[in-house]
Amino acid sequence: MNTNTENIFDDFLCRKLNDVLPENGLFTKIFQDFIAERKVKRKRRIFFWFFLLITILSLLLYIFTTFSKDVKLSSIEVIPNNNTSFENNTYITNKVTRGIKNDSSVQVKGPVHHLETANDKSSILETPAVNIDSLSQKNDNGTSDVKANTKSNSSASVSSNNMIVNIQDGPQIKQDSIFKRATKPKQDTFYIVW
Amino acid sequence: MENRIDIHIKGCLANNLKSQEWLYRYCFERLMKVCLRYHSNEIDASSSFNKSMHKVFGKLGQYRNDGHFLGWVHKIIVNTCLNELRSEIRNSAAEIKGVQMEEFTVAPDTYSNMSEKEILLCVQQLPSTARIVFNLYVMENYNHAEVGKLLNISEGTSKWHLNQARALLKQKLIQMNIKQGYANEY
Repeated sequence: MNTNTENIFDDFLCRKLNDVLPENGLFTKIFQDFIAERKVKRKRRIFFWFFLLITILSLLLYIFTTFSKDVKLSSIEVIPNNNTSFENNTYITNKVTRGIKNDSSVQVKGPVHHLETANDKSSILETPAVNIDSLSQKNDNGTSDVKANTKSNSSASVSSNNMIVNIQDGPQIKQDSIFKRATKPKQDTFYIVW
Repeated sequence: MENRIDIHIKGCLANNLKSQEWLYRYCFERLMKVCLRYHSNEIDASSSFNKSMHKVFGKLGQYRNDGHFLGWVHKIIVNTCLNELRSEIRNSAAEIKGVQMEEFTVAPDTYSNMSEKEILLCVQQLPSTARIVFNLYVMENYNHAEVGKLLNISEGTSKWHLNQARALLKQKLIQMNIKQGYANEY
């Protein structure tokens, strides 16, 4: 009996509460609030994406600048293979991993002496040392002080302040190609010719 | 009508302001009462309704025509209201340790002449947990186990809150009836 009365009471409340109509003036007020909030949310969303974009771009810029720092060469060391006999007029080509200045063209002033050791692990040291300043200079008349005529089966390495650059064999390259390659940014290969 | 809703849903997805206003009004006229009976005042109810509508417009692309649109929006509104009132439920957990509510019956003649707004006012004046349990049990047809799970309270606690809500509503309706009687006499 008690449950039945409760059910009647609940049904009555349910029916009445379902018939509730909101006031007419309320709609205009809260709809304006809704539109205003929506605009603010849209602005926030745009700001968020803009901020994210700026962050990503600045991160990329940082990574790019960090990994593309210029490397100054301090000396060049040439280490030939066992079967190598260095002579004058020998081509030595090298490969630089990365970091060489865009306009780098190697000029070795003066003669390069070949120092042979007893165990035939000869090394070539530049005497006098390679002029580092000249590494970034271009030859005005398009010719290098280094001259060569024949190929060599040798390898060399270029040591810099913070990296060692391997110099390995390569095909005979004409003198003009030194400067062509040097104009490319981040070119990995340059050639020492003498 | 459903076809019209579908047209306006597509309009809303295309950022058409008129469609947004139509859909908002459509939901407002039918579902604002849900927020009004869950909250104790009109301001909170409006805020809750707007939050719900932001969710509705944000997830309108996810709506599939596999059910009634109003049912979908109704569920979002109820969930939003419950999320907003959850902190009040925790705070009022100590209510149950109070005095046991007396159960009494009221003749239907006592409250039959009450208007919808008066009854809504009575519901809004209930303690928050009792109001939520009453809404979930009586209006949304949940059972006590489901209510307890939703509000993270025991089944017995849910029953206690429902009894409290009923008793308080009856008291308020009697008081209102008496006031109206006095007003009619003078």
